[in-house]
Amino acid sequence: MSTKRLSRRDFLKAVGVTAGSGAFVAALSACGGQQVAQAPQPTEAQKAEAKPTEAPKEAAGRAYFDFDKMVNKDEWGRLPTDHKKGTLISQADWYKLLGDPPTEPIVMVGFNGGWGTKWVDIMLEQLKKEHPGLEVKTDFDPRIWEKMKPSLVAGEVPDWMYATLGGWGGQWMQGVTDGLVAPGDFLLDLEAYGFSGQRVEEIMFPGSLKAANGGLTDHQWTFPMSQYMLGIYYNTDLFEANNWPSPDTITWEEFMDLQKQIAEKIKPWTYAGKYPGYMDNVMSPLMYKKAGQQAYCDLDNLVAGAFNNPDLAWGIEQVQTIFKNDWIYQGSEAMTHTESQQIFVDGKCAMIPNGSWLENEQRETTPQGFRMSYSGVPAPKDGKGFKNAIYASIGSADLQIGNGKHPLWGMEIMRIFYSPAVAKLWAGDIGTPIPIKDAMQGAKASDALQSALDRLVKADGHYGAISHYGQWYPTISKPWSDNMGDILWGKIAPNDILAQLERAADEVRKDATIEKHELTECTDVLSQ
Amino acid sequence: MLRREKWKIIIPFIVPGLILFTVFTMYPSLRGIYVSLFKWSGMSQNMTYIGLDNFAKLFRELTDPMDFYNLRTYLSHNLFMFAWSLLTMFLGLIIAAIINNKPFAHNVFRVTFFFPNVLALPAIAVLWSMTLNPSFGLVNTALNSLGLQNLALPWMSLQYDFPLFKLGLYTVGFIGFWAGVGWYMILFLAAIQNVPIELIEAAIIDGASRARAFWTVTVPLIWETVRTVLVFAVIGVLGSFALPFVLFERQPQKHSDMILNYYYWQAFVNNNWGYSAAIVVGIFIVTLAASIISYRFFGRETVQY
Repeated sequence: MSTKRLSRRDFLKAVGVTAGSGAFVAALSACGGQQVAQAPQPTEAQKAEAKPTEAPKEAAGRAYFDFDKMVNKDEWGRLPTDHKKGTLISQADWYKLLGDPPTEPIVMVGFNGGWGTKWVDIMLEQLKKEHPGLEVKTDFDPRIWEKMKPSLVAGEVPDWMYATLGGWGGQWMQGVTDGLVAPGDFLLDLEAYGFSGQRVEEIMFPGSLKAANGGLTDHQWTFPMSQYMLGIYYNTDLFEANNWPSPDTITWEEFMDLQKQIAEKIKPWTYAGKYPGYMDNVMSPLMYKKAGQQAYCDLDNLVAGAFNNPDLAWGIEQVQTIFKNDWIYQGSEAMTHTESQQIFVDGKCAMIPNGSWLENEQRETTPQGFRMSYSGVPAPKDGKGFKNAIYASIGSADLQIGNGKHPLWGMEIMRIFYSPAVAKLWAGDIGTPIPIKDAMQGAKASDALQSALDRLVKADGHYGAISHYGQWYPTISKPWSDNMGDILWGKIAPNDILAQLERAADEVRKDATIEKHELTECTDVLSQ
Repeated sequence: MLRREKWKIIIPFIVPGLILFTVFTMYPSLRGIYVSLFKWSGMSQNMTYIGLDNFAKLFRELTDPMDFYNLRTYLSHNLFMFAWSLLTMFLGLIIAAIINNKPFAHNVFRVTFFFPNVLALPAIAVLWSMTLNPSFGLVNTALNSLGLQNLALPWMSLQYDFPLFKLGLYTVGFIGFWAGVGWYMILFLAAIQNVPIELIEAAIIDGASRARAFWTVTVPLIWETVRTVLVFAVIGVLGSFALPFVLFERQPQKHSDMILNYYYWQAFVNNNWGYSAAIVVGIFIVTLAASIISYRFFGRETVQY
């Protein structure tokens, strides 16, 4: 594996929170109807950053991968050795390479959670339509990573995997190290399914492939599945009735005053006490906006003393003030995410730290007429980070092609995933866009989603608070997540927790058995 | 000849169980010891032999003056659960003694106390997490409707301070008590019912009260069971995992995690299966030591009757 950058933390559900650009707006704003986002234009930051994808640098075929590591050398050997990177492989040519369907079933496995498996049925339909006679064995399970471990250890790697390597797919990098993943570089040049004449790479949401790849640059090891934004959701009617401004239109200091005003009428916040990390959707962006991007890059690069940064401590202290001032709805500390979300949609408090799945997740239990809006975290007056940067994932690192019996068929499954039919289901039924440019496929944006899209426009391609050390070195982030409740409630001083993180980082630095990664560029703007 | 004939009958009964025990208990246990000598991600067959490094790391983490890795904190939670286990044992014994006297509706009580044992621990955790929910749970709703708002606490909170530990950990202990008391009651009841009634009657005729007869006659006669239950408690406490894991949403929680939760994190999140195996071997050693200690120091001459 080589080195580079990617996302800061893999959020609560071990999904990589990664940066994106205004092209996310492009994807979402492609929808029709009245509540459509502004017509997207490339942002200034994107224009400055836009450049051709670098990896893979060599030609395809054998150069795409260490050939010796492939389990099925015969099938992998069909890839043309003279292929030039960036050249379209038509669907017809691809099908010739694929050949007849194998006699045994190809295997696709994945997580079965809130998103259901309806999209899998659509994929299967399309696969069977394109490849009559193809047999596909599927296994989608809420604990697929535990279920698959014995098979993986026995060398039986599925051909296509979703959130299978480690809890919710969070340890896919280990899978790469252990040779369980096949590189997907060749897939990028295949004609996208349902997008005539366009390469897969061309239809992808800008930045999403890079975001998903966890900072690795030698190959495209993993592929993105969904996109979402993180931050503050507030009760729109309540704010409008009281003439309270949206949090991100004022400074953090003014926002603290606003919370004081809110507290005179209603508890400003609820949060998921059983998942205290939700509050990190406020704390991390605030720390980034105060400390700036370089500070975050230093964390990832294990720069000595990087955690002992007074700006980071300031961000923690500010959030602690919220708890110290008793601005939290009573009992929140014992609630799950859905319970706290219900408190919010029932109008019992003004704000909740959350993500753009909130509206969909609470759809069934939200009282009719309740309106919510998204806000980024306000920037402090003298912050070093980009003021309107947004904390978001433009490509969660969920999907891999298995280095199993049929890696090319795994590639084909992946190609089918990024099809218009699958995208339409996700945008419509699931309410979450997949990371392709035309992801909305005509779906309407709700008020809440629209408010998030507006922030994406303002973010101008800047995605703050993104770091990777949590995924690269889990022992560093453990003190952070273990102590999150104590941090919020002020039971541990900001400098003390940062000292703990620094010590954990120091141990990683000194441990030669841990593979090290390094960011070679430090930016909060991602481009393809 | 007779002995050989006897074995011909015995062996077919023993062998299936022995095979299952070997395959599903002995082999994994020995394999765990083997794995503890390697660095292994648990995702492939790539294993690197590192000798006793994992144990050295475990010792280092255990003895870290700052308890940076929270290992001693986790073990203190295990110890707290052991205190709950002792309480559970004690009350199980008392309930067994009462039920043994066949009070009114004793069969109903016996079934009621034992009932939680037919439920899986994760199911119990889910049941109680709903019952104790701060916003819609039965307990707080009842307390609020009775005007006892001050007692409607966030029972599942790991931030609400209580003596020594957080309220949430007391809740774990209580649920463990609720789930376990029936099991201990049944074990003690079976033992008490084997105590010859003549001995109790003789003590009472000699002027002992019922309570005195119970503590000085019945308890010594069931001491073997008490000792066995104690070993069960030690094993159960060191194996505590499912209850806090499910109650607190499978998140790492500094104020409720026990040693097995740390094992789980090392194995499934940190991909350090070799080290997690070393933790389990450590637990095995402690359990073995506790069992030996309990037999040596709590052992009494077996009373025959």
